Amino acid sequence: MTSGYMIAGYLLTWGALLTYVWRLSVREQRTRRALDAERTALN
Amino acid sequence: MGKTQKILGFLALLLFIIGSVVGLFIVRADAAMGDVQRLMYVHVPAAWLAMLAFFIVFIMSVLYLVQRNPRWDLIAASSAEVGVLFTALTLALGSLWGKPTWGVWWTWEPRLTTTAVMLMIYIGYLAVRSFADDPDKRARWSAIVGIVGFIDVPIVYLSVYWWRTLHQPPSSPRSVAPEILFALLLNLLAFTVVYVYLLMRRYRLAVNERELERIVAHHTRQISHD
Amino acid sequence: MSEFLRRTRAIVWKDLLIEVRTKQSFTAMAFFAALVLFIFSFAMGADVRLLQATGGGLIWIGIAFTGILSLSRTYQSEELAGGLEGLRILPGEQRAIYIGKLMGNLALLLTLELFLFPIAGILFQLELWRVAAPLAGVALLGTLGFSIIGTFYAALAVHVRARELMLPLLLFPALVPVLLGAVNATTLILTGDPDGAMSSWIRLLVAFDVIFLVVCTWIFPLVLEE
Repeated sequence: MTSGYMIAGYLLTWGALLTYVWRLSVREQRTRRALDAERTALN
Repeated sequence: MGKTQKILGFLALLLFIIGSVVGLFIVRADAAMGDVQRLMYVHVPAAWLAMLAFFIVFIMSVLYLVQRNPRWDLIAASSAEVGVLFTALTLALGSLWGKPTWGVWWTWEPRLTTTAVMLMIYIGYLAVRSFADDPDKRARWSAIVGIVGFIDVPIVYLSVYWWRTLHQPPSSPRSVAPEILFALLLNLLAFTVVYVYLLMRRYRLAVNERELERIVAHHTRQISHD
Repeated sequence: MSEFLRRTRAIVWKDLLIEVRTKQSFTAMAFFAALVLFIFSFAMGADVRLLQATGGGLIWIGIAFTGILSLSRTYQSEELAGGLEGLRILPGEQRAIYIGKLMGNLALLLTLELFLFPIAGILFQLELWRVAAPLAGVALLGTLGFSIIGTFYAALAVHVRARELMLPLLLFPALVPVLLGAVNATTLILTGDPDGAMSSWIRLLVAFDVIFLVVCTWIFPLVLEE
């Protein structure tokens, strides 16, 4: 009795966590670039 | 430091894969409920980690108000964000489990309802942070919300529990088969490692964002002096 | 010590008077409350039994919405004078200000309810007069809980951007126990209490009021801190 709901739930769990990690890396990159820009502007 | 984070990340991923495989394929499904019961292995750990995350928010909020070290505030904020993620996931998984089991997407079951209120309280926490510009005030006010909110949660649970059960006898819990318990604990471990990894990574980001904020404010002051 | 108490009492009284006097739009608020109840009747349809069964809940939602309006203006006089932070005063006196504003809000809301309840009785065809005494008790406990948390969060919201959004966002989740307690107690008073569940709800309201009166009074100076 394979349940579509069960599959959806596990996909949702994996999807949500992986998406969050991806969003973190995007923000990390953006912040790092902004920090580099500000620091070179300082010099 | 970055290496520790990478190792933790791989460990989290590995444990999570193992947990899902065990929960989906290795353990037997519940006789009565069928395969849908396997959602328990993600829904329950998500709920526990949501609670842990908000407990960390509470502890860090208290620590910050006492010591005023910005580090505690940034950990609190990071834990709140990860906590909101886990809480939302808990609710969604609860709905996905509820629909085939009870026929409805939502029930006013005490734990589920309390989780929904918890979600709203901590979205409020994040909203306070996003609407406060001064970092010290932001830290202080969100710490207050984090503390008051956390104190409120058990009272909310009690009130909803009474609301739903005062006229109904509480359902008696069935005993849990050992292999189901094993799968549950395994996934709980996996989720915990995932939480720690996400918290660490989010905290590092928070530190950098805070540094960026400081530098930008410094530059803005310099420019306005010229 | 008695000097401190005397000064505290003076501050409480002063703030209470300010609150009572500046609520010039009391009539407008009373009208708004009646309007909300009226609209509920339209939304629920003309089914009298439905209105009678849900009357307790509708009354308290009306109180909550009207209360939010009054709360958002709690710190208006301080804002116009240049902000709460400008007041270099001791934490004890800051707590006295909180108590004063709390009592001001409480007094205002209770007076509003003197109008609200009879109007609800008329619109929803509820028999209120017989049970006026227990109803008043529940109204007091519930409104007190609302005012305690409301006055506290209003002080916090005042400093944050988008405060009209922040106050309800923070307040309503935190109020769930009060809402459940007051609504259920009121409904039980109006429709009868075969299982004797009233005492649980009263205990919940009292516990909520005591806990949060202590917590909010204690940490109020942190909200005002410069």
